[in-house]
Amino acid sequence: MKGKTLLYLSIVLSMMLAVVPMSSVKGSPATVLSIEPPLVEDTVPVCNNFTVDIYVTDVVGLWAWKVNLTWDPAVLEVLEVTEGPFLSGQASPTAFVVAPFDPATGFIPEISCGSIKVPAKTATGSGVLATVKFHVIAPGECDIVIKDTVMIGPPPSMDPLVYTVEIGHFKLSPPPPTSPEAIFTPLTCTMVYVGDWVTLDGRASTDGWDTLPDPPGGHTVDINDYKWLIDFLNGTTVEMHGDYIPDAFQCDKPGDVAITLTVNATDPLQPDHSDYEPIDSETHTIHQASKPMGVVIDVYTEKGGEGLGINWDADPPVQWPWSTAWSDAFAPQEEVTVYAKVTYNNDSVQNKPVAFEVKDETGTGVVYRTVFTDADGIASFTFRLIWECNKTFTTNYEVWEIWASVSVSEIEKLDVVKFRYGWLVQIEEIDAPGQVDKPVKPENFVAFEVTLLLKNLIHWPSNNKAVYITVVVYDVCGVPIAVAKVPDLLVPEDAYYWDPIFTLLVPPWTYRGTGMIYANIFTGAPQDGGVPVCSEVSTPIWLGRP
Amino acid sequence: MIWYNGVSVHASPALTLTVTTDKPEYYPNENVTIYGNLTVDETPVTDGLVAIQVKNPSGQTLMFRTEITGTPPSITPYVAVRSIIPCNSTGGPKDSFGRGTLAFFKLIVTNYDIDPRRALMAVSTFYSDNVPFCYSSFECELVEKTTTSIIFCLPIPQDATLGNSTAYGNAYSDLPENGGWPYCTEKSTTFLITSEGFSLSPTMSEQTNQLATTLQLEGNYNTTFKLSWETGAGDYAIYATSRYYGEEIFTNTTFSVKLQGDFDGDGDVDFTDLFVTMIGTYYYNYWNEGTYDPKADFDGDGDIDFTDLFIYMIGTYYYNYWL
Repeated sequence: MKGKTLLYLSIVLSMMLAVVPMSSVKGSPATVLSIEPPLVEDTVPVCNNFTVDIYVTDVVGLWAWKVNLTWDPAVLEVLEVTEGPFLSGQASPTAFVVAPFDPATGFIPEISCGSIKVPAKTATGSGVLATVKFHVIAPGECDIVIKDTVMIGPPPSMDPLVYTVEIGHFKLSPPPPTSPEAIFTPLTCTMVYVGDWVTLDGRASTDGWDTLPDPPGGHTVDINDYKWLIDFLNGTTVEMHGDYIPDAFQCDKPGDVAITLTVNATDPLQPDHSDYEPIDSETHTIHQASKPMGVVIDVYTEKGGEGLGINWDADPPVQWPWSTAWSDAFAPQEEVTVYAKVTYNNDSVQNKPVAFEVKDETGTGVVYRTVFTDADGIASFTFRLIWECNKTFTTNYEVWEIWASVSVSEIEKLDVVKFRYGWLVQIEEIDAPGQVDKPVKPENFVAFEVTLLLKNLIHWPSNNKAVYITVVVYDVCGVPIAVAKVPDLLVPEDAYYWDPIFTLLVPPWTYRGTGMIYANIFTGAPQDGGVPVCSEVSTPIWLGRP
Repeated sequence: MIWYNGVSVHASPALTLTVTTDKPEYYPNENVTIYGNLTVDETPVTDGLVAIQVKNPSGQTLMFRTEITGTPPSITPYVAVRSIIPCNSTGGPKDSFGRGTLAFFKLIVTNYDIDPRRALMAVSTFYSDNVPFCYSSFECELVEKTTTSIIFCLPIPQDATLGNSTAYGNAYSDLPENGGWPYCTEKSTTFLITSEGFSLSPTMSEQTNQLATTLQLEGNYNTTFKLSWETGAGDYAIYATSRYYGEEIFTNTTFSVKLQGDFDGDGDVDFTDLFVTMIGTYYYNYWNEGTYDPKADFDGDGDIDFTDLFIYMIGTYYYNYWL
């Protein structure tokens, strides 16, 4: 009965909104009915979703509203429209109506909402009237338009409100000429037990995009062949075809297997752009290991380290076989969550006490805990990394270890995971000229380059974060004469001696003498709450002619 | 395309780029027009980009520009300058800067590639009369499919020309002088230089980011800038680069700047030029107009000849040495 009442009220509301004469509007001229955000540009790739709000700003006495919505159906698709909290928050209950629509037409004939509270209530202020969820179909550009809009005050007069309408805009630039990319599982370092079957899955590979012969946009070039080459590294190779091959091969004995996927996306439309390469290959090396029987304990952190691992200390990193698993790196005073999974013949062992020991760079035990395994056979605890007041890293990072041991049926087993502890992004060195002359007329300044040699301890991209890098130059009197900053730079994970180069300018009013260059890395601008990511690094520089 | 034994073979197209100036020599405060054309297999490239870097005689970069040879390329670049915004030191929009203060420009750059791209981002500033007065750059490897912002700091000279100025933001694969080619069309913005040491504009003017290119036809490009009154004499280097469908091209040229009054051609205007002018006038008048002035007859032999010039020049050195 209540549903029928709402439906009836909705129909009545639509009819009332439909007959409001636009010529009689009056009210606050500051009111704006808009799409928020007004511009979505190159932030949402194809096959992803985003939302925009139908937003009202500075409205007074809103009782009901109505819009229709248009977009380019070749670029976007509407997935759903939901009511926003603005009207329902102040004038509940409300009747929210989205007229049936065909996504292929790029048009919703009506989105409306009105308060059905008796006596009538209205909403005042700013807020979200409705939220529209879009799906990106293809690169392109289109307006997101609200038209035939109506906003009215409460009955009985139902005066139309005065407002302006602002539309939204979506833009997704077509990609540059992009070769196909071979992406597949199993990933490098995946551990497979002898006797297990290995499934090859290359469905994550990306198609190519060629911009010839049809600029300005371009076209997708589908991958037309997936070629797998299984190299058992003993002279035996097997070739297969297909994007997904369940149970492709069976591991027979401990050792490594190199798997190479070659994808071919030859463009039938010729010519190709010279930057377009139709073939891409990727090789992963997996490790076959004997299936552990009996009691097994595996210790790791929330940043990885399950099973066997990689030694990132080696250059290049040593992969299989390696006796110690490595977690990703941790920053000073960061909280570490430690897990230890206990199994017996691959079955979880519950309610067993597990001993943990955390050892610092010097091998000194700094944390000892006993934790019982849960229903999944996992014991876990947390600790925050020690940060002494006078802490300095003797090298650019330390290596810490977490040990875990357990006894099942008087069979004692232990495991260890290591991690790097230090400034996650750090300045190794400042490379700058020893001397820069002061400008001599007619020059207004003299430019010189400062190169920062950066290191990023983070290994997994998901743990990587953009940083705020600054370089400032003082002259001999302590006067800052030049500054440069990059507010949101992403240093590639595992980067070693990554080298952004700043061009700085010496002004003529520089005092002659030995100045200093200071380089800093923050999580953000200090005024926005950014904090240091690492120690400041400085180097002297002679400013002026000797 | 070449036919070889009945089989078509695609040869690499020959990309050529020329660069020249409208004059070989300039004086301060003159306009310098740099122009050229970009062709592939002798056909004009009508959607190409040309990077231009100009360096002064002391090796300092004077300016960076990116010009188009017709219409902007239609395909998405690997690295694109999305916008350039004059701002304060923290990136907040600001449209005017006082003489002797630091101006900041926020450049927003996107790497659309699926691979990391090494890029050099540069900002060049020009006074309202088109005199380049400052630049700054930042070079790094941009992580794939990421957007990065850089805040450039450029000092406004104490004697800066007041009024509306322009900043151009560019992205290159490297310095053009090192063969770096332009990734994308340049973006520009205007800002105000005031006589005060702080912003005079309490309200923000609308940002005027625009494509700072002019329509070029038939593969031609050109750009004009003005030499300042204080321009130093000597040879200026121009580096021009381009990349078109995988082919890269680099070329360079020079022009020279002479100073008015630099009669001895030593790159400055000083007492020597003054004296040379004076004795030269007497010398010219004697031999061409028959006018004899005994003030210039240093050896007193009744004429003004090389001996007098010699004595005068020695006298100058004597003067220079002792005084």
